[in-house]
Amino acid sequence: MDIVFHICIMVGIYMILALSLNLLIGYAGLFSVGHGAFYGVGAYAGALLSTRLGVPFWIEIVAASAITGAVGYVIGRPILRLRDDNLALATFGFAVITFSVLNNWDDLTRGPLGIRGIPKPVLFAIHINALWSYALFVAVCVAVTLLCISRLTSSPFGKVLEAIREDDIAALAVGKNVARFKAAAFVIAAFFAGLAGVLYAHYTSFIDPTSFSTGESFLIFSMVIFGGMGSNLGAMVGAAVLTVLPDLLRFAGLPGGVAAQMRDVIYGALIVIVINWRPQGLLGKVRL
Amino acid sequence: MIILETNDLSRNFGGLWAVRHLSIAVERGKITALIGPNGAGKTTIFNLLTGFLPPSDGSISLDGKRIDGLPPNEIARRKVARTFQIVRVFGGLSVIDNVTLGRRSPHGEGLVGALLRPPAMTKELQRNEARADELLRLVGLERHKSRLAQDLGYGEQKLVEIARALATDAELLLLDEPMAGLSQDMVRRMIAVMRDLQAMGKTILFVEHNMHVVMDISDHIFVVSYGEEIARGAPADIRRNKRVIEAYLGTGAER
Repeated sequence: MDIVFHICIMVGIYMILALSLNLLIGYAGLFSVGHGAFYGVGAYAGALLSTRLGVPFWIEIVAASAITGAVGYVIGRPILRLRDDNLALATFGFAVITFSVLNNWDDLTRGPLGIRGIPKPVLFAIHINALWSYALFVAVCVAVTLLCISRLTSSPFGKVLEAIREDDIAALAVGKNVARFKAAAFVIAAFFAGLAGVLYAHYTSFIDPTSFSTGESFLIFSMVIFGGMGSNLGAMVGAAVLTVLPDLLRFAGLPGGVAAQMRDVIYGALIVIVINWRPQGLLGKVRL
Repeated sequence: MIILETNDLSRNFGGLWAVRHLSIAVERGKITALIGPNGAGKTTIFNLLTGFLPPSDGSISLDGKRIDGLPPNEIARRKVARTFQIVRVFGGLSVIDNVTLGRRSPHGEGLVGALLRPPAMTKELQRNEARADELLRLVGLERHKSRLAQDLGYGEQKLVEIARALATDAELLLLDEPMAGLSQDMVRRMIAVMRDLQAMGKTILFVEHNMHVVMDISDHIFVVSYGEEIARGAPADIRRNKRVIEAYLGTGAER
């Protein structure tokens, strides 16, 4: 039973990551391949607030997400002038730099040793110790994320993001402050990636930089492309399928070591299949 | 009454002066044409007027207030809207969404409004969609409102662009070659739309190569060649102007 809850928790965390990245890629047309970096910033911010400063969990989860959002603003403001493949490269660079910083800033992050002993969360005197209760808590976080992001995407705000994706020059010409909207989308996406990071840190109770490598960024990216850009449901389905699939292999009798290796092969193959035969992804509205 | 005025407006790209010492004035409520041979700098002038390019020198005033140096979105909010030489619609969005996007939504475009959806935002959205519906009726596209803009014909996409420009409540419309690429039927439809706009009190400045249309609907014409004004006047004067004929046909054309 534990493995089921474990999978549910990981699916939930990736759903939050994919939903937030889809706001950038699917709606605003901003190709970010560095989402894993924000995930990492959130996880470290949460872990440090909780282990070093002993901040109560409910403050920590909001503060760490907000810190990640602020990092998103600082990073986003200069690089959002870039377009398409140049923006993708810049976000990739950000992911590489973030990994290096996490790996080398020993005083703050303890480098490759990671941060251990991240406590199980206590939310207003309720101890979230059991696996099922943590899964429930993650589910609530997914619901909140979905509510916020779907409200944004179905509002005039979301329509402006789509207009920017379709033609940012025309969006400027009808009076939209394109730079402001792009920055807002970036901050929101970073905020929720930070939330996912906090959830991950408290779940595993130990984090090190390898959990937030560029590979992680590409995994989240693959989930959005596979599920379908511009569809919130698609992002969630993409997250679920790509998280569950490797675990199914293990159930199918492949030894754990081989199954882990197969993960990357499967992701690669899925992306090739999607790009060739269904460029809009499973449920997407936008073609790659 | 003058709505838009440029004073010694210039723009160079490296050593090339695309626009040089241009001083033109557009009168409110009139249809003014900007013509000239290919490469004369007409689209550059539009890009300067709408803030997509900063001027190298000179000034632009709208209703007597300087607008040069403002970004395009700020100029759009001062009731100047434009269309593009090569049509720029939001292809993957519906026709009605395209036009509604021309409206401002201070509530729905803010994060707080979008997340909390106060009643004011719902009302704002209804108002904006009702206005978009009206404008689609004006340009004759109400039947296509739910279709994706990219699925419409080229001429109809140009009409979507105009409806979207009107949705901003623009007083001054800059149309970059509205007739280019249109069938005879669509040209007639576009002329009718431009006349409707004038009847509504809008001011139009347009770039056009179709001289029949220019001579037919313009109140006033500016002619530019190599970035400089070479003539101005009513259509009848421009038709007879020697420098204009030379610029279009080359010297020796008078034979």
